[in-house]
Amino acid sequence: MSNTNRDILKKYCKINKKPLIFFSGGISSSVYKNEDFTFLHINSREFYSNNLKLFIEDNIKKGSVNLLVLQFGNRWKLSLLLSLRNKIAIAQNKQNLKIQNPDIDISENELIKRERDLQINTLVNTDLFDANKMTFLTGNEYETVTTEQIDKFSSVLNHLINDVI
Amino acid sequence: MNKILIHHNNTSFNTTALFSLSDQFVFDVDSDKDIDLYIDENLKDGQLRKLIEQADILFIKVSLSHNYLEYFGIRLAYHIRLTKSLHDKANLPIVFIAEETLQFLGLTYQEPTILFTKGIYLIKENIADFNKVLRWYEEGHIKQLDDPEIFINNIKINPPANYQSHHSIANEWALIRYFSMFKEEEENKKYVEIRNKICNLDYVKTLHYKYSEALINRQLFNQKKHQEEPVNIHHVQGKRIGLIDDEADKGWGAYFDYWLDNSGAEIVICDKFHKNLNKEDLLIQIKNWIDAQIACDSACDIFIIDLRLLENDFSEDNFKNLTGIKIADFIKKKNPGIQLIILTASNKIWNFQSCLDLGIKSFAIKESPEYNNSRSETKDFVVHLSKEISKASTSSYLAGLYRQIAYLKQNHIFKLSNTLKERDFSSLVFDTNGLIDQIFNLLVLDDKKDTIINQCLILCFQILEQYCDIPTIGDFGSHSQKKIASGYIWKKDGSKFDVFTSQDEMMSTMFNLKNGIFPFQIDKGRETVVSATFYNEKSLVSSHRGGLDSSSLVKIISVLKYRDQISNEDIDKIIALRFYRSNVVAHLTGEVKMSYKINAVDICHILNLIVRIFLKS
Repeated sequence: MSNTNRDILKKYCKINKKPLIFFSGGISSSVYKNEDFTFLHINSREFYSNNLKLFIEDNIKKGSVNLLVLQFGNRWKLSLLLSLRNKIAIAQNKQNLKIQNPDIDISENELIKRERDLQINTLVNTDLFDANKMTFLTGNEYETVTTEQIDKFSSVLNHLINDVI
Repeated sequence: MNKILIHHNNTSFNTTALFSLSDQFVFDVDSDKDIDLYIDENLKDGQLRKLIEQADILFIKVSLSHNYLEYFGIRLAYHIRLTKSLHDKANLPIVFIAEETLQFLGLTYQEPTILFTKGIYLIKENIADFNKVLRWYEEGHIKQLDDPEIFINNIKINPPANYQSHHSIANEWALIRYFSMFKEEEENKKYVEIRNKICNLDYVKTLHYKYSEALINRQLFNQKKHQEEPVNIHHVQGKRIGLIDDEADKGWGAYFDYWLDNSGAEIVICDKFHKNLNKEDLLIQIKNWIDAQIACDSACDIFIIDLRLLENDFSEDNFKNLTGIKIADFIKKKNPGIQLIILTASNKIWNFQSCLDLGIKSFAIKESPEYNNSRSETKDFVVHLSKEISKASTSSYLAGLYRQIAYLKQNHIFKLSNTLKERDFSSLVFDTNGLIDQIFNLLVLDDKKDTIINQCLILCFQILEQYCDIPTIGDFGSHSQKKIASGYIWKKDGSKFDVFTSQDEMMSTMFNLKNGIFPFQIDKGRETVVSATFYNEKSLVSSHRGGLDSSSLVKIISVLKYRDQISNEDIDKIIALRFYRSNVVAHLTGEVKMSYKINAVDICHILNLIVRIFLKS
């Protein structure tokens, strides 16, 4: 497909918020983006794999398009969970840096002050709050969270990550 | 210490308190750009390269994209280690930043081996960890990779996921490797054209290519020495050679153009490969192109054909259904004398065997990265390919011979004959599977083997001798009691021409036979007929010769000279070949030197005479 046609497609998907998948035999490794629209750049062998079946089944079951299923199959949640753990680690370290050096170029909104700052992806929300694992969180996004609560949250998250693999 | 941070705005270390902005590289692959191409571009001449060139240690976030599990940081680290142009900087200490353990990364990443090599460290998003690394570096505990060979041995990069079906990888790999065997010729436009095409191949930017190259580079190979011994293709001067390869426009066309041009030949490239064509339509397009190439005045008598010309050829179980084989079969049915060289990345012996069964004798392999061939082996592949092209070229005369024979079979002098003897002769020689076909088929089978050439010689003389025995061609008789012999031939204008009359020891004749010893004959003191001397009018000579063999020779000479106007030189050649036929092929008398052999050129010489004799004027 020519670059012009690719651009036309991307423009259409951006305006209409449609997911887009480009697949080709020449792609080295898959790339997922979720900015203006969800986009997956994937090798055709990975595209025509069991993940495609899982992706379609997921779509039928949930009525929504989750390109991560196409990219990672059954491990699709892992990427979101790792990303969440990373965000928490970043915030915690920034907090420590700020304590050590109050003049450091880290703004307050880069830190976790309230439950909403955890930025929990809705796709894994259920898993995290399932079976009362998160009794220490209220579920109210404006509720402040303590360092102790964040540590407990991280612990649940780590267990969940280990369970996925 | 110059430390560099590579991240995706997803680390706490990107504060200027730890890394100045000029020491940070924000990794952000374009939405639909291949990750390897993006990395390669940045390592080649982008900002990232400049940073690495000044760095003493690299901090790389394991995740360098929106999607954590893609772990592009690890992929980037492989690229850094395997990018030759970075020289020593490729070996810098690399500190990965991740919340995961090495074990976890090993479990969740397909190619984790780099994590367990020297010069690789792992820390968490933790200022204490960070400071510890800085301290260790200052104390000399953080080390760079000191032995790239051990590194290469310890890592493993998988081929792209669709490797088995995506044959362009093997094609591009072979092209790059075979091209590297050419001596650099910056002044040669064609050389520069291939080099530029190769530089633009996506495959050379991939991690798999860099890894495969690094694997090969472990081996000792004097590239300069090998390039100083250029691989030439012999015997192709003036030939036009067709190339049917779906990857021709990616460099193989330019490769053969350069190589064959240097050897005095011309390449003609099939340009009918369009992505949207299905197999049937593609076959029609290629067949039309072939028809045009073999019908023109300067016909292509040699074709180089890739075995697999379509993506779905890789899932084809039946060898005969491969597009390359369908094309080869089409050409062989059009003209079995056309020489074909099958070029393939497959090294399966049964494919070669199947080619032989189809009458394709030349087969060359496109080197494939998974075989890890050494550079010396690459050289051998190139030499083999050149030999296969040379071999095909020396046999390509068969294509012209086939055209000549096909024309002769339609236009010979006995085609509409109404005498029984002539019709019988015509059938024997010119019908399908007649003597002419038998000679041609034997040459196609193997035109280098003595036994086959000898068999062809017998058949050639069978044609000439039977021709001379047709009553409408001549009359050669003798009366044993009166000891009279005579011979006359019928000229093409219908007039009778007396050649000789002999009685007792005297002969009135238009020619005489000269005795002597052939240069290829073992001199046992027994002279034989070595040439004929022709007179302007009948002359009296003393006759010494008799017997069936001499009678037959006299008949042939009479007919060739006086009916068919064959030159004296050609007649002498026939006399010599006939001696060889009698003393080597029919009876091994031991009178011919063992070192002397006739070859396909001799057979073609007689066949050319046969065409001249039998073709309607």
